[in-house]
Amino acid sequence: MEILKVSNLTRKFSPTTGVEGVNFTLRAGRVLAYLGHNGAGKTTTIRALLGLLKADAGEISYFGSPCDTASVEFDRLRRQVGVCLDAPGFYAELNALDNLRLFGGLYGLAGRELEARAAYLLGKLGLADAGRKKVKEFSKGMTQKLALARAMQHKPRLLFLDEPMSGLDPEARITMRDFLGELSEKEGVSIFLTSHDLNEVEQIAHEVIILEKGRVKLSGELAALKESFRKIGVCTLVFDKVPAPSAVAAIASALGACKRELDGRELSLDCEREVTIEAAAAACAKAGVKLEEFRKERATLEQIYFESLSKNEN
Amino acid sequence: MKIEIDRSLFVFQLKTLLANKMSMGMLLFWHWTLGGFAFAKKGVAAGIAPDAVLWTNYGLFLGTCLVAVMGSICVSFTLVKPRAYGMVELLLASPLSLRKFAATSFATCFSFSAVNLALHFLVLKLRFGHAPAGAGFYWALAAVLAFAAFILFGIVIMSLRRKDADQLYILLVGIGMGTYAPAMFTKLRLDIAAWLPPALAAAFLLGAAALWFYFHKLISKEKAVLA
Repeated sequence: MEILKVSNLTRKFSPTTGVEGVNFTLRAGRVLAYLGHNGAGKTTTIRALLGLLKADAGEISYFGSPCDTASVEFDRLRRQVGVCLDAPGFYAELNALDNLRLFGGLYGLAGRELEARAAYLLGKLGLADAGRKKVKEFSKGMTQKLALARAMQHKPRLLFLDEPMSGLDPEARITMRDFLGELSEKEGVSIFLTSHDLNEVEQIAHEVIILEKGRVKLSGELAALKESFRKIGVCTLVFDKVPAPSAVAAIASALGACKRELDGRELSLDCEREVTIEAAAAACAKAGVKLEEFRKERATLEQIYFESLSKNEN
Repeated sequence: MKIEIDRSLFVFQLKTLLANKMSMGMLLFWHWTLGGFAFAKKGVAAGIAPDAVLWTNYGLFLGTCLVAVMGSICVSFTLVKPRAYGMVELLLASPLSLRKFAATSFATCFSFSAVNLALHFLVLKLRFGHAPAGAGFYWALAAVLAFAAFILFGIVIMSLRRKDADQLYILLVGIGMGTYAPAMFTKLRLDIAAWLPPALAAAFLLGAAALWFYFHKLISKEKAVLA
């Protein structure tokens, strides 16, 4: 099911700032990573999608119905949307529970349901003992987790997260990543995520959009992008034992490798042409070594990101 | 216009006001310490029976305090500071309507000030056996409340429209102190022409009404205008 569909979204602040012609569709239970340098237009997009900025042009559909996000009627749909913006937005003098109660109430929760949901989320995010602690005593990681708990209180179908991983320590990142993964996989929550942490994003995103100067430079399924950005001819051969240098040279020569690197039983090759498993097996047999595993290296999100941006620069 | 209050926001805003040392400190200092000091120094505590002029001036004093509290403390803690924390954007991104948000913020400020006003009267009654009364007092209070409403609408509109509204807080404190200080440090028994408080009340009421219409127009617009 289409949770969010955006067509030709445009919001310009000046000829060089804002976003222009953004298109994408986010389906149920999917995680869409919206990436780009600072000032690329990520936050502008989120604000336009939430009706905090009026778009100059474009159409937005939530849950299958077109809607005007700046209209008063959109307030009803907001109950199905969770938001975590770049500023934490907590009143620091009050405790975590008081802050959660405010937003729980605004989204229609009350009484025991509200208390139980807040307690569940605090426990889930490792903040079970921090409910009565003032937010000003929270670390950055705790505040980020609390912001996520607030966004999830009313069980939204769609979650907007603006850089939720920024400034988190490794442990907090893992908690956050696991929680987001669980939300999308088990609860079917769709997540629209912006982040600069490409390694974390790679582990949870299904789809990626890379933005540059307000325009989409690359978009698609992450798995497909990894395959399409794979370097032709880069592969790894794993043998049953460490091969002799003469055998390595023979294999490299047979496969047309311009670069080779042997690490124990693993031989990494950068060849001028595509290498098939059949060709690799034949070259190994001819050199008298047994091939145990053959891998074609897939591109990482980081490589995709920088390559797509540098391509466009060129 | 249908006015609705959001209970969770109302409770939250009251809690933020009560939990904050600065707002409570200012409340105690401005309303009670300075007020008590001025009032005691000027006569009532010395045993002089309150008369019409004294109560008129007390009305001005009390009203000015309300300008300070309702304007600077309440608006600051319900709008200006939450905007700095990024909370106003989250409120606008929530199902809370703009009208409810504005109406609730006003209700918080008025409730806070009304309780404070009632406490003032109670303490005066208990301590001195008199509560402020008489046409002079009520006209003076009306004049300053109209002034408070005028200032309050202005500051709320500016707080909603601008993100960098912190300086408005200082401006408002300045206005409050400016009108309040002369009564404190010169003489409370300042002779005021009888026509002045009603004239001021009418003038500020007109100003407040004009700002109210603008405010109403503003909160009937899309949230995107304010975010």
